[in-house]
Amino acid sequence: MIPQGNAIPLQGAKTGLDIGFYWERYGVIAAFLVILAISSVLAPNFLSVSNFLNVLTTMSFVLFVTYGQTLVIISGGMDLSHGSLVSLSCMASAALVAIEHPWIGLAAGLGVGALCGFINGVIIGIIRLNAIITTLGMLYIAGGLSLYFTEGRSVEGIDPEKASNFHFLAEGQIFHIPFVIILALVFLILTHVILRHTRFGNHIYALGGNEEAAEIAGINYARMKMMIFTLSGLSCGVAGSLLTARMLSGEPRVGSGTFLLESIGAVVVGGNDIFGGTGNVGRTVLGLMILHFLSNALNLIGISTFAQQVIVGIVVILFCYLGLARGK
Amino acid sequence: MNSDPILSFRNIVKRFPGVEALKGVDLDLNAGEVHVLVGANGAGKSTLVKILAGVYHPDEGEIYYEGRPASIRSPEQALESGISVVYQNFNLINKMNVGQNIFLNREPVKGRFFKRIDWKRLYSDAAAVLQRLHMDLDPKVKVGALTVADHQMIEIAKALSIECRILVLDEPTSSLSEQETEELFSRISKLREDGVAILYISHRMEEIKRIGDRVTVFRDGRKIGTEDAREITVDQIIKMMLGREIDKIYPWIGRPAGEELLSVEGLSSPGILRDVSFTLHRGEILGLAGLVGAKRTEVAHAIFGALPLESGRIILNGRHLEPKTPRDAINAGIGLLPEDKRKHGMFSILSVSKNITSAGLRKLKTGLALSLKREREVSEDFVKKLNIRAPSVNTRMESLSGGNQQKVVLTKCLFTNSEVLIFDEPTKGIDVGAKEDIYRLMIELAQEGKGIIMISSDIPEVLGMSDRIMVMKEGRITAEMFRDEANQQKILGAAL
Repeated sequence: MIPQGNAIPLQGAKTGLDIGFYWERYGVIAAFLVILAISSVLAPNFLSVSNFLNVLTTMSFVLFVTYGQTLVIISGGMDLSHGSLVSLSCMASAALVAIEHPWIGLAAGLGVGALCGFINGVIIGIIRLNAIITTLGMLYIAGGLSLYFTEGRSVEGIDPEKASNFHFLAEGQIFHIPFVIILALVFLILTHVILRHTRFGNHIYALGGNEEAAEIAGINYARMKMMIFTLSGLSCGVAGSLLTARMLSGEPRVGSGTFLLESIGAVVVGGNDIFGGTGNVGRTVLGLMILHFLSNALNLIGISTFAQQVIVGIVVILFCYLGLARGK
Repeated sequence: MNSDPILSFRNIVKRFPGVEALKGVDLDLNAGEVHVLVGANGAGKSTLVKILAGVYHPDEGEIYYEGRPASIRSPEQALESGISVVYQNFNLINKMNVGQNIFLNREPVKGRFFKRIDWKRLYSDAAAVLQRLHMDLDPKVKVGALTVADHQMIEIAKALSIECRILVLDEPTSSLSEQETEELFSRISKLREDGVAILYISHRMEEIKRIGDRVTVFRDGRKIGTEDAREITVDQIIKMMLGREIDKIYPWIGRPAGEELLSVEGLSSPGILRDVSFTLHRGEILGLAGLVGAKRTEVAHAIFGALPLESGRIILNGRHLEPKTPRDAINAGIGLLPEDKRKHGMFSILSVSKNITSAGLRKLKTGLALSLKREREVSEDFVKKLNIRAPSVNTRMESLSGGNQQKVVLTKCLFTNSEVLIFDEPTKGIDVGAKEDIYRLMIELAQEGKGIIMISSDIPEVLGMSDRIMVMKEGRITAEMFRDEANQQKILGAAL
């Protein structure tokens, strides 16, 4: 299994009681529990199974993209195209679900996401352009394409009867647990296994730790970047297709809201190194949970969505200051 | 011993912008030999190593591997062909642990359907490799938490854990203790018996005789010769390394030493400088020699306010100086020509004139604004005086050749009217013509009564240009001599 001390990277082996060590390792969990505790006291109806399932369900759609972003950030990059790729995948899958078969629609959604990610990967890996600039460009391109084909209108006309199995992916339940949460868990395990148990995953850490050293060790930079960004795009394809399954329509602006901000925000708030080389996907999940449960509690207390954003922003910076998120 | 070369370089040429690093080099490497490569800094050794490792690609020439023409396209391919390289500057990933570093890209896997990393085996294999080198290290410790000597040993462990036919070691002992060095040498001997070809780069003369079978000397991108390491003497090697007529290149003329300008007493900085004291007179060129890593640049930084000091005094013109930032030093009349001019000396996307005036904008002020007219006049003046070859003063720095860039950076110090000039490797990587211009300028500046400290790893240059020479080793001054009592052996002796 996972070697001890490897689950959350740390600076060297420590002996005895070292507050900094425990703070780095468990600080984010502690902070999350504190937020939960305070919310339980202050927010009415916060502490209930239905509320938790609610938050987790909403969160799950975003979770998929944060998995992709985690791979990219650990490898020392950043993928800014996420918001638009979710929209474009949603549009593509909706169109084909409406015209063809739901499963063809699903394949289209996944394929469009993966293809755009692959293009990012080719530009970054082979032409060696900067990842932030390339994905910023893709953010515009995919965003524009989502709006272009329907002139900004949504894709309607999905027959709910025909797409009932497809709809189940997003809205169905197994033993009262929303299926999308189960899917998010499966993908979490998959991402974790890729990062921790495959050579590909190990090379993601190597690339983020020291690009030059990784290349000298014979790691193929171009191939790595293409694979990482393709997976990142694919993660948007999953999210986009599931959103289609949920709404049974294609919304060209569905990803332009919080998707991109949360995909990076979750990675950072969870305490992963924004410069890459260390981190794990568990931290990312924790990061997204903090963002979502915090918003939910503020909602229940009756604080407006606009004020919520201000508070969430303060929390992000506070986390960084406290050394929970790494950016000092 | 097998006499068929396993690897041959023929007429290898490698050019970089402004410099020809290798000018047609031949080299044969035999299986089962330790082939030592020596040469001054910048002779082209590291470039050749990077070509062998697939990091650089030669512009001209052929490579034969086991008698067949070969091209080494990537580090990946070099490793697959059995070429393992330990670089001088390490290529470890600080955020990963020792085991992960040793087996990076060679992770053992298990499982028939799902191939996953066998972490248990990786760590036990890593422990075994470390054990063989008598290293007491936990494979799960992060590399970033370890010392430089540990890093070196990890690099060696990494190289030795690869089944290689050619092993390249680039100055492997520079940060090792005596015991670790012995351990490394016995491993090298074993590998030699196994028929591995070892290319060993070293500055240490005693090592060449110790473990070398053959020795090849490089100078200025050319191979000077290959000799039997047992027969050649250290003196002969040094002569081959340096061998040029010093008097013709260096325009030194005897000048009377002036009054004391700068005096430095007991500069110390934990782990870096140890009790460095010296004086500099007006009109004097003080050469500061030593190996790379002797902390000569750090002395310059200390005087220039760029290195915090634990103790020590700096007295300039009889006044006590406590430079906290480079700004303080510049205002007090100290100028630094940094070693890495691209990183610390110039703004490559700005024009020549903006670079020249960048350290003394105050002198261009007219009211609240800068006088661009004066900027141009001053710059054109300097460009003419220093023989800087640039289309105009508005040309961007990046489009100038290395030698001309160096002159512009030098002009920066002159514009601020510095009295003490510290030149850190002033002629590194520039062509002979530009070198001579810079030497002439140094003599002129000395004649004007300025004091010059010249840091240089080029021993003939130190001998040719200095009035007085200091040698440093590991953060302290190990020798000081006047020009007429100095020679190469003395300097090398104090530096090694």
